[in-house]
Amino acid sequence: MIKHNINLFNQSFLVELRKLLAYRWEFWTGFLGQTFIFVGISYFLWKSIFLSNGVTEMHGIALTDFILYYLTAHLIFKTMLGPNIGFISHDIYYGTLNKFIVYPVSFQFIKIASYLAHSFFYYAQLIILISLHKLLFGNSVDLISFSLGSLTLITASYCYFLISASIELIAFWAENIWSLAILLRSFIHIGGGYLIPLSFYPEKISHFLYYTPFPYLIYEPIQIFRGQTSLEHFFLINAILLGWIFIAYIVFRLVWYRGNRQFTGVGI
Amino acid sequence: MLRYLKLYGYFLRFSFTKALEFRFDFTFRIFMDLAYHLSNIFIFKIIFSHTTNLAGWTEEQAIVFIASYILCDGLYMSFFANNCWWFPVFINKGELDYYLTRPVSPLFFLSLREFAANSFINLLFAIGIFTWAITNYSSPFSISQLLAYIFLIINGVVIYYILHMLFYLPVFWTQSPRGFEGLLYGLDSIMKYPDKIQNLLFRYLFTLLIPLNLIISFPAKLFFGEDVIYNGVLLASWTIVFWSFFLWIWSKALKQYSSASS
Repeated sequence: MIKHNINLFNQSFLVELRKLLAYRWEFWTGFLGQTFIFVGISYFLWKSIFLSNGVTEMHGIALTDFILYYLTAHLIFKTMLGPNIGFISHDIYYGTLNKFIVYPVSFQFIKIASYLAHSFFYYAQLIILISLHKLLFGNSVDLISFSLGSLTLITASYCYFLISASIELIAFWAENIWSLAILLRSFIHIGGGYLIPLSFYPEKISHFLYYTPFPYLIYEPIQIFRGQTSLEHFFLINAILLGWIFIAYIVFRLVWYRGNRQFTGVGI
Repeated sequence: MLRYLKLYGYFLRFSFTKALEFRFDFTFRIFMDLAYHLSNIFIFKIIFSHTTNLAGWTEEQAIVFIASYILCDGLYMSFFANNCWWFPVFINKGELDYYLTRPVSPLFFLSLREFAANSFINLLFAIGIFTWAITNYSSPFSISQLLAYIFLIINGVVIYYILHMLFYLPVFWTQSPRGFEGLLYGLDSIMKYPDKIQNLLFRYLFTLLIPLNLIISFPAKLFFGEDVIYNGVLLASWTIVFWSFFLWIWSKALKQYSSASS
């Protein structure tokens, strides 16, 4: 049974990865456009602020450090994001969820396999671009920080998977969950420090944000990758993430259980 | 012309009927758009809590700029976005035939067929934010200047639409279901910030080749009275060139269409 499940997991993972690599033009334009343009424009923004203030460092971040910050921010976000919106809700809308209920395999298990294929795809990009950054700027991520950052990224990704999967499962009741999923991404952009590092936020706002999971999904993993935190802080962040995973898992199971009870399997 | 207006009236009626059937999505779309608008303003507020000017613009000017971006986004999302999203799918699945055989311009039909009625509330919010930004702008301006500025923002929406279509048109040759939209979404962030923060290479690239800077930055510069003649002539001439280029490539793309599906 275990062997069968592992085989099934591998197959789902590979099929999803093959799908991702099928359109090469899309891959390269998306990769170059999204990553380089995002990092480039964010760098220009801060360069302009540094120039107008006449400073070389703000909140402990030098201008060139922003390149690494936004590079990791973007690729952590992409790694965590997994498949496109609809990776569960489409199964509910089109009635293809039936096969997961009939087959002797866990629904969550298969979904995680396809989720991991996407994450792996962007994690590989993270490795390549961080290596490139180290080659160009020298003073970059060291091996220990990278390993600790990668471990935190795994915890953060699973936490995000459970949150986004719970939102996708709302499709049992709602006719479209696209706007809710986008709303979640907007909260992560702002609350996770994707657009502006959280250290630049007013104290009250950043203090409040730490009561939500968002800073632990993007900002804190970035700080760990950049080697800006101690080992104790790394453990603390991961412990908090595990707490959020626990809460998100209960919500996920509850929504899944309730939704399943009223699922008709008809589809549209 | 009258026939097209009448047809657009029907499009609007169908779109509203369809959107109101999906009440959950309709409601959450309002929250989603509102969160997006407020986050854009929030980012600029954070930036200006650490500096007094951004590439020579004061906070007031930057707020007018971002409010104009929000208005542009609201207009694009309401009038064009849904149609642009479906466009590559129609080509990929060979469903374009239906639009090509109707006795109306296929470009008109494909581009304006669906009005995103669930973004309509968003558009009202966008107009409200723009009005708020303009009324808080302390430098003097005349009504004609404001009307000209609104006209240029609408011109920016058209450029933005053309840009989207140009990124989807390669689907006629590549048969990919999504075109180069990945690249386009990445490029979106360019127009959210003033073009003056960019280095020379980026500025040329995103003014002349992929004219994202012409969408909001140039109209804003004209409204603030910066190099009016130079910026005005560049904006007008490049809009004409860009529109002509789009129509030329559109006719080439239609000749390439084979009706085959994938």
